[in-house]
Amino acid sequence: MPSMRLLVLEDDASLGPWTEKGLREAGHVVDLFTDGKDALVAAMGQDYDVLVLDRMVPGLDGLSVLKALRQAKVTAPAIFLTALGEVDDRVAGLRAGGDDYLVKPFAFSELLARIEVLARRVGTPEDRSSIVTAGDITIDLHKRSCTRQGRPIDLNPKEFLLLEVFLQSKGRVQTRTMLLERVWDMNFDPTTSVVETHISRLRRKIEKPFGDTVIRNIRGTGYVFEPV
Amino acid sequence: MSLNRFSRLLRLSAVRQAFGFLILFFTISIVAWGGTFLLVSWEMQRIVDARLMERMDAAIASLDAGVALPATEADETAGFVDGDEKEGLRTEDLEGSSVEMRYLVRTTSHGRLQIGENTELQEELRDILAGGMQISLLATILLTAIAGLWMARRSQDRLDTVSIGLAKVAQGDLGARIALEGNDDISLLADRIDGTTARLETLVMQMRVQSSNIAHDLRTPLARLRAQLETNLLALIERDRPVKTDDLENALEQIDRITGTFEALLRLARIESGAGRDAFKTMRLEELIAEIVDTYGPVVEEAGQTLEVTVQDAASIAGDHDMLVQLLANLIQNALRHGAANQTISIGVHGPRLIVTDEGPGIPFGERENVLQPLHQGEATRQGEGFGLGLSLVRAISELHSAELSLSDGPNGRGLCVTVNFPRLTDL
Repeated sequence: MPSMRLLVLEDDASLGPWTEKGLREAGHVVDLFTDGKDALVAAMGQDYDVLVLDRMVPGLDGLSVLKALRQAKVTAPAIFLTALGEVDDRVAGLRAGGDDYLVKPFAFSELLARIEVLARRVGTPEDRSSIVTAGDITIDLHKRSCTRQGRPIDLNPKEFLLLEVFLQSKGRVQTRTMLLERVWDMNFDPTTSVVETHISRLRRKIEKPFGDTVIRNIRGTGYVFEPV
Repeated sequence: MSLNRFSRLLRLSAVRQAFGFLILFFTISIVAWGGTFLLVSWEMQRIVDARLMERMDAAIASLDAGVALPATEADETAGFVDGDEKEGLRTEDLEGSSVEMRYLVRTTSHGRLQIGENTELQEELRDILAGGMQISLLATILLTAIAGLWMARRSQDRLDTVSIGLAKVAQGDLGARIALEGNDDISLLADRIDGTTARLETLVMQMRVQSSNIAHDLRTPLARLRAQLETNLLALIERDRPVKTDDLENALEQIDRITGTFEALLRLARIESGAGRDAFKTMRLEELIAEIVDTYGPVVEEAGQTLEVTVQDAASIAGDHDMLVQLLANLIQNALRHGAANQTISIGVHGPRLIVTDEGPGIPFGERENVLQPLHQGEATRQGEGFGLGLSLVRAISELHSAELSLSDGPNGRGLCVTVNFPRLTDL
């Protein structure tokens, strides 16, 4: 992941610096603000790759900051951090021009994974063709078919969707929650091992016959797809 | 009655209404009775006048025939008068007495003839009529006023009962009921208000129970977490045992679990508040099941169990997709967690009915109502991670969809059978 310039608006005296430090250690340039107005001025003045906005901060709240920025045609992707977890708040955030939403408390790895997905979304335009290839794996989005090393692999719809998500975000960590949202459209934690089960089935089909590993489990975080 | 009190009385809607009706009634009575009096008087005078004309004609005929004037009765007069008297009809009070006379004067070829009749009787009748009418008018108005005020007072009392009852509720006494007797619109209104208060009371009570359950659900794992961290800290200080990765991972996992419970509680509260109903969309139960089977089929298989699906005349229902997925997910999880090893979990759709059956120990009849109540499970099951909310969420989601949720024994009296009966689209 190339270094990004990030704006973080978070007024909590311990969460703010924690987020800043974590993102710096991940190799990004971070500007931390504790006041909404300062963040707004900064985001107007220069281009950021991703905006990380807390919803409740003194001065101007994160929602208003983003609304103002969107009015000023600032298109940088934004992710909201919030202690408000209700669906209505989520919708309000997305409506204000937010691209993602993360409810506190969250794992840092979750935040990092989501920021990196957002940056990629605008950074490199998605390949529009229906054929997606990663290493020796190729999927056809129209025919819903998959081949590895030229051998067809039979996947059920969820496994296919899972692989599609992995292929489109190769090298980037996908957390369990992100996969639940993107593949199963689930905004709640199903507590049973839905993700684990489907991934282990997918791996059985896509890795086992070839004797290698393309989907790696990152302990306590999620999964990452690394094509051979 | 002081002026202040009077003006306060006038502000009461029932009294105002009675007052208005009283004025209206008074006006109508005056017009009706005045009209009657005038008509009766005119009619009596017309009869007297007709008689006078008749006698005048007879007198003229007698004079023309050269006969003497017909004899007069005691209260009649007939004779010639001098030319000063005007022709026509007139009424005259005799001087020195209360006698009233009616005269008809006409000029004939024989001289100016005057026929008279004593109308004292008619006058008395008129007086009696007027008197009687005045009395009855007064009596009617008085009685109407009394009746009006009584009725106004009565409905005002009823309104006051409602108002006092509501004031009590507003002050926080949710146990207060108006309990108005009777069978009119006000008692209907009072019943409605009582119903609303009762619902409010239940909700507040549920909320209280829930808050204490929430406290329990969050405090217990927090206590566990705290104990664990404290043990680690003490081990580090006293025995120099370094904190291990496992310890920290364990702690994080517990925090995530607490957060999960918290999220589920918020979700439950939100669903119970009735939010989201306006976002309902029409969907086919069949497609919903297919989606769930795609997601959970492998999970059930990996657990060494079998998922069996039967679909028969699947209906379309109105609902929230995410919530219904969660409902089914919770039912399957419940079956997985409590069912027997190697069991078959069956999901059935029959019309608008959704049935999930497992082959576990089931739930004893007496416990069934309890497990559906928000967070009412026995202590033993409450200790499970986030469990206790699963079936409560199912219940809340069913209620939001106006669906009937029932628990029964599975086939052959084995296992638990959960039925969710959705209203058909046409019934909505």
